[in-house]
Amino acid sequence: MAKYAMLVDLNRCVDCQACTVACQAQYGLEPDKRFTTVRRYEWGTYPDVQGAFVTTQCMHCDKPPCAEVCPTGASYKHQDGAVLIDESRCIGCRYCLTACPYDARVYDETKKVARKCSFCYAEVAKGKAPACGKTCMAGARIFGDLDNPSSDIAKAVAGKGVVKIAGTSIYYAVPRSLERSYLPKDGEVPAYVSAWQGFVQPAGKALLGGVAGVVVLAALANNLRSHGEKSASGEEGSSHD
Amino acid sequence: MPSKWSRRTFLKTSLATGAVLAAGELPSFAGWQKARATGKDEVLSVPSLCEMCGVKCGIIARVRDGRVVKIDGNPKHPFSNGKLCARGNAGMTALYDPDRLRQPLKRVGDGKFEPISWDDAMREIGAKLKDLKAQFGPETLVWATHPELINPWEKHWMAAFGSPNLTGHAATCYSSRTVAFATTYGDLPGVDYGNVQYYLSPGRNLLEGIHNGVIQKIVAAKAKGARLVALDPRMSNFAAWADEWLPIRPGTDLAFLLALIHVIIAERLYDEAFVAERTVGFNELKDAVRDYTPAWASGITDIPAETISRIARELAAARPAAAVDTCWHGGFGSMYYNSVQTGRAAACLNALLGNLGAKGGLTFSPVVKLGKTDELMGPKPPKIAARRWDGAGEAEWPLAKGLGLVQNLPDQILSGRPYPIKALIVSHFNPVRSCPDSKKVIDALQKLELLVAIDIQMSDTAAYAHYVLPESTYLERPDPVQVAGSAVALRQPAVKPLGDTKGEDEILIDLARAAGLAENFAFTLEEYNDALLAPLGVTREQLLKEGAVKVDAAPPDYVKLKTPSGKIELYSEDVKKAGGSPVPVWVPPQVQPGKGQFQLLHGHVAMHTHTSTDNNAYLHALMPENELWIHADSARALGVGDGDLVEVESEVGRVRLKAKVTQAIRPDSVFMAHGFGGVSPYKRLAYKKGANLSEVTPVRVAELSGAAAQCEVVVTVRKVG
Repeated sequence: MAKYAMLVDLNRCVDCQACTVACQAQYGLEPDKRFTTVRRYEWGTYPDVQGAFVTTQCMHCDKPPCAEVCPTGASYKHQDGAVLIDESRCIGCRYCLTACPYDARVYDETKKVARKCSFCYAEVAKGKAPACGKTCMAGARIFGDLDNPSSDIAKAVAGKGVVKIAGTSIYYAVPRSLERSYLPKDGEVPAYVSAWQGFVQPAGKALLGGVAGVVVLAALANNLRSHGEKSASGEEGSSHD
Repeated sequence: MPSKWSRRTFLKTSLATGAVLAAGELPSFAGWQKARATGKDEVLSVPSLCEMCGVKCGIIARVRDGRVVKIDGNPKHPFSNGKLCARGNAGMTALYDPDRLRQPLKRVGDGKFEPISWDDAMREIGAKLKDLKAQFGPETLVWATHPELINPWEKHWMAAFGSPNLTGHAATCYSSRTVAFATTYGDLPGVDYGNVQYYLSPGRNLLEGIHNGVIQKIVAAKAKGARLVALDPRMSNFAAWADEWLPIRPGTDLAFLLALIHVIIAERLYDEAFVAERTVGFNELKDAVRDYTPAWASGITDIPAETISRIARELAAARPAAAVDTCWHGGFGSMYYNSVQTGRAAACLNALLGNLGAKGGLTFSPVVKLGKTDELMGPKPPKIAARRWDGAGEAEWPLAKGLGLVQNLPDQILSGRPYPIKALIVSHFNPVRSCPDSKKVIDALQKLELLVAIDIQMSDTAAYAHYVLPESTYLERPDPVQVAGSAVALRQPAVKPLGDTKGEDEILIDLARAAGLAENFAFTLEEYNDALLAPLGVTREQLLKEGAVKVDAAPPDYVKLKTPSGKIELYSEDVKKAGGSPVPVWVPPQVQPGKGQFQLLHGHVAMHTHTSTDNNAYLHALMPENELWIHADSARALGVGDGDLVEVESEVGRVRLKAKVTQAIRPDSVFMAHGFGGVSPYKRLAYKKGANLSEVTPVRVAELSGAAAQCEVVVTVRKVG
């Protein structure tokens, strides 16, 4: 068993977007669908302006809300730490897209399934590196097994200026000038997810298989979504693209 | 859409090209997706070279069922070391772009094209070239190119034809810095980015004009504690990432650098032994900068005098692992009237730091001696009698030899002086959107009797051609050997051409036969590459297998330079002979924004290359259009909000784009990225997306280098939506 994690060194990131495209190419994503992104943020008043680049992706939460709400168990937390999707079990209901606090999931219109960063789990299983880190010219992404004390990631997370996004598998090494508020927020389970677990999920499971079930599920999910919008919204900030 | 195209003619043209495309399997994004999703594990790995920009990193194309499904960096190539940028990662989407060219086309009417066979196209082009040569002399043909690996063949072709008029894009890109460093160092050094401890960039934006290998090194240097300082009127990505951003007034980097020299000499912070042994003209330089105090420069640059003094002292304290970048584009590549003197000041400053050949200083590339190809390439063409159309390398522009003044070509075509240019061949180049004043370029192209475009896509220039010759993409063709540092590398096809396209090697051979130059092109690319590799002990087979192989390279000579004196020329007689000050002196920029005006700045972005990637599905989605960066105070005064549509007007034209309201730019300047606002309707994603910078850039000619000085332009901005 491993405990996979990723550290992104934002002192190194150069906002080139290579990780974004390498990942899209690896998974054949539509051009407007991305598993990982890079955003530029700037703050201050001219001429005292500063800026930094921040990557986002699936945070591989310890208690992933996406898996909590998944009516079929297609989304799950693997024992190695990665949050994965078993596409054969995904019914395309998209509740996980709503539940994700990091807006890290996309819906594949062709395959009719939810998709997301898997830490390149299949590649990693073959001993290869995730596509984003493999192509990174800046060497900003360090991936590996935290349980292996001699791994690069285990050493890197102990470094100075490292911020762990609580409740997730993602760490950032942060430039001194970059405020915490520009990073993804600490993991928390949105309130509506508990509501979901208490009522909708059992109801959904009971109804699964019929058209009526899907319709009811959709209606309930939409209702809950608008309720939970605030906690589910992505982080704010100016993006240059 | 160009004025002469109605919607109807466009539709007709689309049908014509569509019919051609339908003959084979249509390249498409969905087709690529499907191929990569077959699930078969059988993947062929083909080492080759990227061409998503001019750097040409080593790649490994992963091929499944005859399709390129993914592209990775080649760990054996010194530029990529196994990594790629966003553009390199998006190479498949260029190969499978449904809008790309797949068969030769001939213009048969106003904006209308029909398919033509290669044989017919070559016969007709050859006959026309012979006819024009007989009437006007061989110099009536200009070949304009963005020089790639095949460039020596283009030179050879033009020499055989008898025309002196092979013209690159240097004037719009790097003429001024090349002249500056050639006159000071006899050659163009680079920076030892991996070991630099103090790095000053006068306008070079390393993070958005990307060189993969340089990024890897500068990131490593920063991680080791190097201090990076950016001079830029805008907080570019590099300026944001650097330790310090100095928002300098546009076109005044020269004053800043002169003041640094002043401080370093006045406070005796320079490397005295190095200066005494390795340079000439120190006393003249010392006299020249006597009055260029930090207080003087502060008034010109808008940078506080104490900051200038501090930077000078910090640079000197870090020497010799301290360097001022040798630049491209912005700063002193080509963008301002005074860029040669700015480059000369940077060159002199580096010399005072004694950094040539030192760890973390300036370096020359090692010397790889390729084999000779003269015997292979047929009888030596006779010396060309005609003068060049632009005077480059001649009495008027002695320092512009090999660089050219491509921005003057439209005026030359339109005026017919000093002699008529009737034919133009354009390869990997798109002057309609990469040279200043698009309208003038289009007017000139329409006056030509023969315009041939060689490209992988229907560029804005190709859309005006009489003949469009479709080149195979870099994933479908071989090319001449590349020298990359102390390695040699080779491009090879990863897949067969998808359509009826050819590599430029084949196109040049066919064109040579058609134009009566067969005896000069009686060789193949394989023979040519074998001849180049012969003395290196590396075979073509090895390169096809490895992609890149390290070879014995001679270390550069840092002591005996290729200048007239053999030393670093702080004082340059060559610059004096060309009409400039032999030591760097202050030369003001040509324009300054008045009340209600802005200086128009422009530059590259990380995810696009010039005008060549705007139709690439992945890269287009990342950045479909450019925006006008405008300072929040300036925007407020104009009533412009973030995202509003604005019109930008200069002396030559006006364009519209969305405003990006920001604190990250000087209030007297506005910025837009280059490479948007496509005018070719055949590139459907890119067509009319964002603003075409060239439409508002006037034709300028910088002193000494003849560079295009494209940032010497003021504009007004108004809200239109």
